This record gives sequence, structure tokens and C-alpha cells, in this order.
Amino acid sequence: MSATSVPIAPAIETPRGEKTHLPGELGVWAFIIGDMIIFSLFFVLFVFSRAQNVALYTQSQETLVQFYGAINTFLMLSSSWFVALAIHAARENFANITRRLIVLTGVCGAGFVVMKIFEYSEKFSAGHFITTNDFYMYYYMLTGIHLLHVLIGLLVLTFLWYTANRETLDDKCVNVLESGASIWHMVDILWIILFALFYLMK
Amino acid sequence: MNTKTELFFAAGGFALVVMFAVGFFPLAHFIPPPLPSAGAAEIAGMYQQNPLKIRLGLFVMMVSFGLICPFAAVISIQLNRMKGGPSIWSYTQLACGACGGALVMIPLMLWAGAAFRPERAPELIVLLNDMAWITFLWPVPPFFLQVVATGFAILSDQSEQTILPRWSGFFCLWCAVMFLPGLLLIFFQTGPFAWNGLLTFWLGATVFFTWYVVMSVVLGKSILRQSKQIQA
Repeated sequence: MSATSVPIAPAIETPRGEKTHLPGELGVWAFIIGDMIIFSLFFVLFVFSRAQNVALYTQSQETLVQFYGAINTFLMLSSSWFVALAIHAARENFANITRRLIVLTGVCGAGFVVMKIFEYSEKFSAGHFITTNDFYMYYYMLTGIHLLHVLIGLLVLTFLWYTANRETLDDKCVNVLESGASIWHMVDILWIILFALFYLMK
Repeated sequence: MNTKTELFFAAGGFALVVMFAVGFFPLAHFIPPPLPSAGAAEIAGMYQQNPLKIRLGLFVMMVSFGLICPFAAVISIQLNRMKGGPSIWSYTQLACGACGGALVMIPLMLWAGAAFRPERAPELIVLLNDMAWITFLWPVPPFFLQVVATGFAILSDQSEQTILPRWSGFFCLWCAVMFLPGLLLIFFQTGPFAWNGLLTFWLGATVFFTWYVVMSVVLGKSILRQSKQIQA
């Protein structure tokens, strides 16, 4: 996934007349949109199935611990902030700061995974499994597939760290960083929606 | 000479999908799939109704799967042309393609077992039917790895003019994500993640065959461009 042949997105003019550009590579955005379409489908299925048995879903929802969801939301939002700061640092060619911020992003991501492990094991010992009912089927499937995205995202961050592991960050390098950061932002956004659907929706 | 052979087998990916579809639906009538939760009488009835047509459909599907291995070879030939030469991705793709080529025939054999003697005890038909649908949609890893390896190879191509378009690399990764829900179908008899579910059958299997069609087109274009470069 290196830089030689990566087409850098053309400059765009905003409604206010400022010059800007699409962060990262166009193909990455196609992947992000494709992935978000799948998740939108998950969300529609969940809401549709919930509407058919609201009592069961509300009852099962009460067994979830909002604390875990809230901490994870906090971790995801912080990580998104760190990765955004990393991109700003990279554009100013501060390679050292960029790498440190990528590490911080990764630490938040790893914290998310650890919290999820605690949450799942607590659910298991309370006897809530993927086969328990429809709510738990969606809960495990959707948060599980999202967790897989977080793990892949952590690999992407590792790749970004190596990309930034040099003296000067040129345009191509920044472009790769922007692509990876965009993927991480997607992982964040998907969690925010999952949090709202599973923990908050009344 | 090689160009023609390669084009032939690249088009084979498209032919595979058409033949499989003809066998699967108009002949064997496997759409919609039987409910995983259906009773023995219902499942047995499905095979007793028209075993000959099911066998004919299975025959066409079996023939179509002969095209899988040469198609994987065509992909690896193109991946090997990329700057840096043959990579671990190219070999992984080929190995998984070969493995997948063998795997996809197992459900056909199990369906054939059910349709071969449909008057046997319904419970046995149910067993064969379960086995067939599970082996059809559950073994995700080789197909997942084949698609991921192809995607990684395309995206790590350092050539000035990439051998395969970069978007097809991202498309491969997206397909891989779409295969994942199938891994968990053994836990469900109903819902979107069961073997007849929206995400496993309707999307998972559709994306699998879409991958063949898309790859068939981009490979064909790449082979044609290569032959023009050689002639020029």
C-alpha cells in the first residue's frame, strides 16, 4: 500500500471559496462508503427486528452496562481526536509528534479492545450468549464485527506509524496517513451509532 | 498464443457465474434456500418433488466449478507481473483458489447424495441437506484469504501504470468483509445470519459471484493491455 502510484485527490473548492482536497486516496473512500453501506444494513435490520418485539429488546437492553459503552465511546472519540491531530502535525512536517499521536490513538484503540473483552466475559458469565435471543444475536454479531474493524484499524495504525517513521513527511506520505486516519474515523463513527442503538435507544 | 489462453480462462470466471446461476436456480430451484428450521417432511419433499431436475442443476454447477482453478492461475499471472515480481500474496491467492476449487464441490456432492435416493428416510435427507448448505456457505477462510491476498497484491503494486486498477484492490477488501458473517451461520436457524439469511446467503453468496465477474473484466482488460504493449 505504498505511495508511488497512489493518485492524490484533486483540489476541491469549498462553497466559501477555500481550496481544499479530499483527505487520502479516492479508493479508500470507496471502501469506507462500501463498508458503511453494510453497517447501515445491519442498523436497519436491527431497528426493524426491534420494532417487532420492543418488549424483549428493552428488557435485554437493560442487562447491558452503559458504563462500558460510555467509556468505549470516550476512548473512540479521543482516539479520533488524536489521529486528527496527528494528521495536522504531519502536514506541518512534525514527524516525531505525528508518531507520538499515532501511538496515543493506538493506546485508545487497545483500551477499547480491553474494555470489550471485560464486557463480553461479564455477559458470558451472566449467561447471555449469541443464541440467547435476537437482541443478543445482533449485539454480539454487530459489536463483534465492529471489534474486528478496531483490530484491523490497529494494524492500519501500526502501518501508519512505520510510514511516519522518517525525517521528512512528503505529500505522498501525508496522503497515506490521511487514508489510514479516514479509516480510523469510520471505525469511530460506526461505534457511536452502535452505542446509540444498543445502549441508548428507548 | 498465451494471451488467447489467458483471455479464455479470464472469461471463464464470468462463464462460471452464468453456468452456476443456471444450475442453481432455474434447474435445482435452490432459491430461496430451504429454511434451516424446516421439518424433515418438508425438506425431504423438496428433493422428492423433482430429483431429476435437481441432479441436472447439480451437474451444471459441478461442470462450472472446473473453471475455478484456471481462473486463480490467471489472477496469479497478472499479480506476478507487478513490480517486485511474485509475492506471498500471489502464492496465497493461488493456493486458496485451488483449495476453494475443491471445497465448493463438497456441497454439490452432498446435495447429489440427497437427490440420488430421495425416497430414503426423511431424517437422512435432512442430514444431507444440512451438511450441504453448511459446507456451501460456512467455509469462509480460503475464499476470504484469496480475495484479501488479491486485494493486498493490487494495492502494493509499485508500477507506474498499475497492472490491475487500484479500485479493484479496495473492492477485493470490501468483498472480504462481506464474507465474514457466513462464519457464524452454525449458531442460527433463523434470522439474517442463518444460512438462508440476508447477510450470509443473499449478500455473501452474491458478493462471491460478483467478485468473479468484476475480476473477470479487470483481468481481461489487463491481459489485452499487456498484449498491446508486447506488440508495440
